[in-house]
Amino acid sequence: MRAPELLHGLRVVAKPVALDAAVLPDGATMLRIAPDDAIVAGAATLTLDDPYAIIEPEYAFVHWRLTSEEFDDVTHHIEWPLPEPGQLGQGLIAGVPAKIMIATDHVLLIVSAGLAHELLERLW
Amino acid sequence: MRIAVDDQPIDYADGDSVAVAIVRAGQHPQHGGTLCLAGDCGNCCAEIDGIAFTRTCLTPARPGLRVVRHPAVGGPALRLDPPVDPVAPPNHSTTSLRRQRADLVVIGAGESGVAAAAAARSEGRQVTVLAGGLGNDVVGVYPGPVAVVRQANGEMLHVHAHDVVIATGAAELHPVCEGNMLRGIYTAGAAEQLRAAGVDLGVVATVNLEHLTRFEGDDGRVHRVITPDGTSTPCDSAIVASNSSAPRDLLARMVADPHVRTVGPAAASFELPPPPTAGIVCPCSKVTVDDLQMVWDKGFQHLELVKRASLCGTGTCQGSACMPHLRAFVSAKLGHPAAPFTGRPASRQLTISEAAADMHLDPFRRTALHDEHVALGARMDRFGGWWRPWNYGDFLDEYWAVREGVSLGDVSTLGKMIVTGPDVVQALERIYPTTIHDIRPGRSRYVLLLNERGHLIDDGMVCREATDDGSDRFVLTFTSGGASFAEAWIRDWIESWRLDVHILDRTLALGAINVTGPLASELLQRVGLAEPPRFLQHVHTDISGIPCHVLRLSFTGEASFELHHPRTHSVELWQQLMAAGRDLGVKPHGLQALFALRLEKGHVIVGMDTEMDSTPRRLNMDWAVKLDKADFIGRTALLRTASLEDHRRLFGLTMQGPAPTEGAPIWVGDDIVGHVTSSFHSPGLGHAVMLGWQKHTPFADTVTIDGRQAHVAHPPFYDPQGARARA
Repeated sequence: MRAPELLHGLRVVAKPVALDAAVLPDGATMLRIAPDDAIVAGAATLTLDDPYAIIEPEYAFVHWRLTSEEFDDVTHHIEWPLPEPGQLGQGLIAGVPAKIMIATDHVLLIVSAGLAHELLERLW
Repeated sequence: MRIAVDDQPIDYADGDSVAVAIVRAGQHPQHGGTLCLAGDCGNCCAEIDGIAFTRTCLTPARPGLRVVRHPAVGGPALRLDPPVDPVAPPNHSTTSLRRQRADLVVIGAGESGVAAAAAARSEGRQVTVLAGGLGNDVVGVYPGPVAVVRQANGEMLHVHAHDVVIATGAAELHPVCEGNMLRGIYTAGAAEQLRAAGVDLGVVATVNLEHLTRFEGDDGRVHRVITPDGTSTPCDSAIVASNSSAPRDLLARMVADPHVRTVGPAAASFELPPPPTAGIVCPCSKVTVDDLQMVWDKGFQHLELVKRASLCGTGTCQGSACMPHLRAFVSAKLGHPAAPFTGRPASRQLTISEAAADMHLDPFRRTALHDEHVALGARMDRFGGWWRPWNYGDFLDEYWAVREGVSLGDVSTLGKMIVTGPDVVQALERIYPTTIHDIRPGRSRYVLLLNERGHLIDDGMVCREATDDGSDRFVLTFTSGGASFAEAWIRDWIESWRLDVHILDRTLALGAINVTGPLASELLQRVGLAEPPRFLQHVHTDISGIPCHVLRLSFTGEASFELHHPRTHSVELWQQLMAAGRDLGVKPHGLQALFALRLEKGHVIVGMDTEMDSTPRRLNMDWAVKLDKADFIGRTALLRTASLEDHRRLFGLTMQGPAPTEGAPIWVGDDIVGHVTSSFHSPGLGHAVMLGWQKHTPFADTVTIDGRQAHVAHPPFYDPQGARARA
């Protein structure tokens, strides 16, 4: 399997209503990790209606962009229900904490950079 | 066509199972015992192609297959091939696992299984039939329900079903009487198989299980069947028939789930055989009737207790052969029917690889510098959930580099958290036992993290940020191993208090390099840090173009600067520091040197020097607790216990000669009063330094460790005024 790529973007912690109302830059995608916590992939700046919002460049995650066929092999290592398309799913994949997002023509498989080697070894 | 049995070739016929081939050759797959050839008992189990406890009756013979019979007494030797290396990365199971979802799973393809499947299909349901004969051997059923399947292709399969129907039929009863472990005894079904395969059974005596007294024979083989009227029937083979059969309900007994039901003979009630009076009841564990009587007489008078005390039913077949007789034994004693015992997965023997399929050890993280460490010759080890360099060859070289020059340590593993919000100061005041509000922007403070009992659970730094708008924002650090728990702990409390605080864990996003040693400032100036922060200050600045949060502190006892930076720049920053410090003799240091350096300063490592109930007082860290401030987690407990006498204390210790092993007992006279938690022979000080617990009062000033005298000494052992750290 090819090496994963860094997931460029911002990490944002803010009031849930502020995240709900966030206007994302063109091409950016919000991966909502928790009600008050999100990765905004593809964004370099973001303005939120929360004076205490923490907005930091994110370096923690890498990702693979998988084809449907590639993802089929991964699903055998997932015990939890797969998310609906466009939604973020989080849980253990082959024992490694990971996230997936199913798009129409691909699947994003996201893992913290420090654990990418474990996922590579266990999946492929 | 031949197979090898105990390294002797034997012929087999087309269609033979291994068991049939062995009987055809006049032998027994084990060393005796009734054969059912239906997979119900464990009497035909042997090692096949290196895998022990394989049912030979369910294994087709094929050319070159190697069978090794288990020893007559004891079990086959456990093979560790290759030998276990505790330091190497763990091997993962080589057996793959697939997951599948299904509407209805029917287990069993016999009459009742076919009927159940047909009925369900007629209702429009999608049915998946799993059966050993179809290459899907169900070895366990769990709530969910989930059927765990060993497949003929070597894979494991987990089928998550809406409903499960168990239709596994019924099994023939095994005889329990004197001589029942002789060779040449077959159930009626087994005899039918053998005859169909053309196996010559010789002179046959057929006997009903309910009218059987004993088998007699010599050389381990049956030659006579004795019935209650005293009749002795000579034979070469004995066939045991029965008026009854036992439900194959082991899978059903494993799971209590409303979506699992049992049908057909597997669900039928049946008449228990007569209570056994002699012979082996449980052939797998070789439990005799006398054994059952013995445990009964000792007071184990319940079926589950008899099972546990005697091990009857705990062997290869999980009670499939012995359960009817065990129930008959207990029922006769109780005077009423005893219910069967709970079934335990797996119903069939699994290899460790099969059982571990898709099961993984906890993953261990790598820092962004992992490959750098390996390239520098580091011996990597797991510590606090991370792979970390233990040393780079000679930890004393690393020790001296820190003490006399400059050294780099990878501390990316430390917990790093940003907290802000209108209530953040209030929250931190409640969390930490020291004052927070008086930390000025750009300054930091060492803090303990206590639980409600006042016991230490972690430690770290609180750094107050200088913000443009004057809002309160802090960076908190934690130990490598305690960071995840600390984050959850702090979030939980803040939510409980309903305080308005934002928390962002940056541990995985940021790398951190500790530049430490008397030449650390000079090295940092070379890479662009014109004014290194003073002790306990911290600044945000670029170093070699890389944005860094520089924290000035000291764990090693020398001037130390932690450079927190984007992990994507860790390698670049590390290499620039190494290059810039080449003429200063810069070296990396691993954990082994770090542990020694901090021990000379008397710094504890949470979890290594501390115990589950270590209070600040027991650790001589009362100075880090402000009992006169408003409430904080653990304050009530500390106040209550402050006036009580305490019997535990962590002491610094010194002794001449080599350092004792960590964990070594500490003696006072003939009593062990504690143990050593950390030890190191300090080349700089010329003697051993230790931390260790005394758990008896009065605390002694002189103790014995490893047969040598050691003296209590108050840390720091090195630079007690802290001048070097502050330099």
